[in-house]
Amino acid sequence: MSQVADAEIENYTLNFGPQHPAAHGVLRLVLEMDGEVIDRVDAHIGLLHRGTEKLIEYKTYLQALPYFDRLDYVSPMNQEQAYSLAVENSSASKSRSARSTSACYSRN
Amino acid sequence: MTLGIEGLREISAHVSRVLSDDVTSTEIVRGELVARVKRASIVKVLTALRDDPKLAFTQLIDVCGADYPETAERFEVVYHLLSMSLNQRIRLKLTVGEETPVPSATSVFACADWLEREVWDMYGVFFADHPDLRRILTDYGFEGHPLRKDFPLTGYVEVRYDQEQKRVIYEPVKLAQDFRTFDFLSPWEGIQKLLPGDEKASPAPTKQGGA
Repeated sequence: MSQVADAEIENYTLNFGPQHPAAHGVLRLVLEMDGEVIDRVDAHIGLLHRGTEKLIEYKTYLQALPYFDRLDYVSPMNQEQAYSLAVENSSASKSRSARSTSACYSRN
Repeated sequence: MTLGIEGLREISAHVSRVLSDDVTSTEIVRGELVARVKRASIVKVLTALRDDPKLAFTQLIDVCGADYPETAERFEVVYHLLSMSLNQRIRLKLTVGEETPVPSATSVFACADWLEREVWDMYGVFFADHPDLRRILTDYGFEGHPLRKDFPLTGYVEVRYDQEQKRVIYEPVKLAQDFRTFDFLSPWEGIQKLLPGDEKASPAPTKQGGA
């Protein structure tokens, strides 16, 4: 028993992921541990990055819309609405926006 | 404190008065305030916007890049700020070339760390005095900056699992099919009389030529 108590515990590095049931997708964390306490984290967040912006460069506005559902499967409509508002506002399509997104969600 | 667009006009006037040496222009475009900032002054401008009680832009929402290859300084770095007490937003823009660094905003807003890493990763804009300027989203050992306009949609390498080597290997990208654009006004325009590739086929026998 006493041997265990005297042993010196050093910080160690622990790899978490990229596949882990608690990670809700793919996420890799390189954890610097002090016993059970995490001292530092190096998060590798790009494993789920799908280059949506680059794909959209080659698409029409309407074709780009479904990509935004896939950005966040918990709230796909929020992503779609943000995109739709951006397109409508930047193209200043008043006739269309009067009937669609902007009318439902006026800013002021 | 004035709400809405009038408040935004007040902020616009205040910014151009207080930071006249650093902000080259302010304008309200479609109800949103856009200020163009000199590259060297960005830290000063961000600090002033954060600490001035008449502005109180205490949150840095996003830092992103934009690529305009036809201009002399091809990249733009865009900062979005939110003033929670005034319920107003401001957008700051600065231009930068491929070689010149942008002063890092990490000393003013700690969240700029990852945001600037993303801009570096995607566009190759270098941030001076950044504490940890590494790639953030692309693969380990990735080369190039994918959101530059001269970067191809397909990239340069593809990965697959190699059964013989028992590991994932990288190979130059091979495309089984040409890129197709479907830019039609309506789906009914999709079917053409002459399908792509038909012009290569031998001409159909006509009545005159037929036996």
